Order: sequence, then structure tokens, then C-alpha cells
Amino acid sequence: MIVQCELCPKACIIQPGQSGECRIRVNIDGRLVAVTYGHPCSVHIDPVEKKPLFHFLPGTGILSIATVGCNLHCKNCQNWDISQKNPEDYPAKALPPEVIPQLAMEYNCRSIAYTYSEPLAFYEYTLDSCIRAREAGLKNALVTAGYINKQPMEKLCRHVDAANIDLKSMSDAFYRDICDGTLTPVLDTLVLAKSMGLLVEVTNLAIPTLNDSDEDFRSLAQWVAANLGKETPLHFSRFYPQYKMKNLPPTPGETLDRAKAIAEAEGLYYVYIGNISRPEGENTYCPNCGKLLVERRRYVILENNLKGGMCPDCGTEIYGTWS
Amino acid sequence: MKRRGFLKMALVTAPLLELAERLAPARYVEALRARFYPGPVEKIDKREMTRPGKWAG
Repeated sequence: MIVQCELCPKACIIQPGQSGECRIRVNIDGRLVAVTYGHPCSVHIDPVEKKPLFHFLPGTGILSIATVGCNLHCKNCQNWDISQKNPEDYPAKALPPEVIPQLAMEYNCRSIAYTYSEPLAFYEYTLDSCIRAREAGLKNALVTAGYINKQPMEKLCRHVDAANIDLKSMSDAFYRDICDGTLTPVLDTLVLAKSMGLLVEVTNLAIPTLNDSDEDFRSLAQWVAANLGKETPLHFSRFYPQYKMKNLPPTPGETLDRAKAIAEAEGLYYVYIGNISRPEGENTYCPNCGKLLVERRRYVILENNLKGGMCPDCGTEIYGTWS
Repeated sequence: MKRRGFLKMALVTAPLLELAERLAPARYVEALRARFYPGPVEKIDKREMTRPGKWAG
């Protein structure tokens, strides 16, 4: 019996014994089975700033979980050694959703991140774990490319607090050529997540010659400002050559400075630079009075001047989940 | 039915059946939760776990 997976826009038609494009949703005897359920390949405690989430419980540790598999196949994938692996070829740990909150609390983590590969591909594990974590009083965060259909995303968002969603480009051709996906579902996911009350941060990996023109940065910033709001944090991240894209150089720091300047000129309040150390590239300033609110270096908080999520000088409320 | 007739009929109906199945597959949004992992399973190394992951994100 052939099955069709309707989790993501790829809508894979899967023959018995085969998997969808994500490698982890398999047709077993005519039934679709999530084969990595309860079996992450990676379990780590990261600083929440590493996700990157800069406006979500700063300075805390976040229990970070991933299984193998991804429904996109970006040629520049930074985590290809797990995202593009079959479960048969990669060792996993047994960690059922009901055990996750206990593990997080044992290590003083206040939140769980579903990250590294693609948490929307290991959807059932993410969903059940989010429900268990919420029951235990913990928060949930997704780090995702956002390539999913509306109905399952809506269901998941009810149990999620924050998301860092990749917006790789504003070009559909880029998504088709580089990622083996399409742009529109990602934009829909961003709007849906924001409209459902998640704290949304956006990441754009700037790749030399592919998505690093002024117009690329401008159109992306304009879309974020118009559809998600000027308060939405935007991270420009440095590309390093790897996986199937070793022919391009790392992104120069100046390119990221230019991206930040363009996004700020488009009115975005919180624009950051990541994967490289740039002066003031990771700091949060008050959009009203310019006061330094949070000073960061790498994943360390050097100074946090926020008072109850507000600027201590002018009282402006700063977008985020601060405690 | 003669063997030749049977083979002719099978030749026509088999692809039609396959086509019908492809046109109307069983559709799922959520998958069944697997009880077993198809690859190797190892214990969580808690010392390793407390270090930040080597992956982006």
C-alpha cells in the first residue's frame, strides 16, 4: 500500500519499505512511521544564545535535541552530518518525550530546543516532547527552516514558546536551486508562528554571490518589517564553505556589517551578526533611546541592563521573553 | 481462461491497479510513533551532554 505524507509541502508519495525525502518517515506495511521517534542523535545543553535566540531567557542553558533527517537538502548545510543521514547509519540515544523534562530540570535548563537538524521533520517527537515539557512548566523553542504545511504547524505552535526560523533568501529560485524547497511555505510558517504568539527570531545565512546583494538584504528586511513587525530580531549569519558548497569563500565581515546597516535602515529594531565576532554585532540597544541593554560576546552575556523586560532609562518595552 | 488470455488481462490490469493506488494513496499528516530505532542505540553520555553541541543551532 502506497502512502502519502502530508506533513510538509513535498507531499512525498512513499512506496512500502521506502522513506520520504526526510529519510525518517517510512512506509512500513502501508503505514507511515516516524522511525526516529524518541531517539535523538544529539542531546546537549547549549547557551540559548547559540540557537541563536537573543530575546528569550538570556543567559540560560537550553536542553537541545535533534534526530537525524531533514526535509530540505541545502547544499551549504552546516549540520549535514546529521541532517542528511539515514537513521540506520547514525547512533541514537533512547530518550522518550516523558523523560525529557526530568533531564532538563536535572541540569537547571528552563527550556528545550528542538534544533540542529529539522524538528519539523521529526514532528511527532517534537510535538509530544513540547506537550510534556509544558506540563512540567518548561518552555519550548524551535530552530527550524520552517518548511511545513499549515495544519500541523498550527497544532505544534500551541505548545511552543519561541522559534528561530531560517529565512534563507527572498528568492524562490534560491530555495529551489540551493535547498530543494520553495519560498512560500517558509513565509507562511513565519507569519503563522508570529500570529500564534510565538517569540519569533529570524536568521539569514549570507552566502557570497548567492544572496548577499544590497537588494537581497533590503527585500528580506522589508518583508520582515512588513509581515512580522519591526520588533522581530533578525540575525545575519556568516557562511562557511562546507558540504556541497566548498567552492565559495566564507562571508566577509564587511558583508554582514552592510546587511545589518541595510536592515536597520529599513526600520528593524534588533539586527544581529552571528558566526563571527563583529564590534557590537551581538548587542541589544533600546530602539527608543539607544541605551545598551544587553551586551553579548559569543554566547556569553557580559551585561544585562533590562529591568522587567524594559529599558531602564526610558521604560520602552523590549520585545522578548526575559524571565 | 487460457493462459494467454490471463496474461493479457494481467498485463492491462496490473498497471491500472498501480496507477489507482498512486492516485489515491493513504494520506497521513502525523505518523505512527516507532517503538524501535532502526540504527544503533547507545546510552546518553551525560558528561558529553553538558558540553555545547558541535552543530550550528
